[in-house]
Amino acid sequence: MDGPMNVQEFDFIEDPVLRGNLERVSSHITNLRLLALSETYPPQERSSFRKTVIIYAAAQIEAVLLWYIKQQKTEEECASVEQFFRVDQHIYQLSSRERIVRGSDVSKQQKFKFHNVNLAQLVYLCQRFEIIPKELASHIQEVRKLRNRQHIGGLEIIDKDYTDEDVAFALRVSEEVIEYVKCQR
Amino acid sequence: MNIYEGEPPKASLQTPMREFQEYHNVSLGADPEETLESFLIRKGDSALLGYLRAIQ
Repeated sequence: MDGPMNVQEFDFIEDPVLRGNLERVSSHITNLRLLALSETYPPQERSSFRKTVIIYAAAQIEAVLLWYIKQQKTEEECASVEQFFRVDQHIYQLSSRERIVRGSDVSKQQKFKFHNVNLAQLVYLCQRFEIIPKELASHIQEVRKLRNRQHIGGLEIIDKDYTDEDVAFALRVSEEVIEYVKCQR
Repeated sequence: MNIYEGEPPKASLQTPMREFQEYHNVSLGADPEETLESFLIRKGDSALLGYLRAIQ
């Protein structure tokens, strides 16, 4: 008989390291979500549990999106191309602010490494390649903004309490992302 | 005193609530033998329920 220990999570992911890390995060999300329901803890601590759930949910969305994009694109394809005009020769000075030059239009491929990419860049790439729906991208951005409130150095107001609705939103977007990438395989 | 020993309970819908309550030494208002799934349905926590169903 299958017991809880035999349930395979994230079975659509073949990489055992990634799957193991995603499973650990799911365990943390579940435990912290349950602790946030317990009146054993004061409201501020329960808010802190909720905040941590949001951070874990965003980390999991980021990992799943990275996995998803790696299935379809190479680092070279993801690298953006910078286009600029290169001045090869100054020909004539017209004034202190103007000159006549000879030059060329140049394209330069930017460096891109999967291991350096963040959630904002992943959403941008998924939209650029049109591999996730716009609405899903918008939901992920909302989770990212919630998650980014952990960077308290840049906040203009004292961070408010995290609510059950915030957590529910982050978990629903996680579900949406996971179900979407599963269906695309 | 450190009340935590071992790994936290697995985030499976079939995990008995007893494991969560004993591991964290808290009461979540759950029947110890009910599963996480039935607890979440009873609590109306559709977000965690949907998330856990998606990953399993």
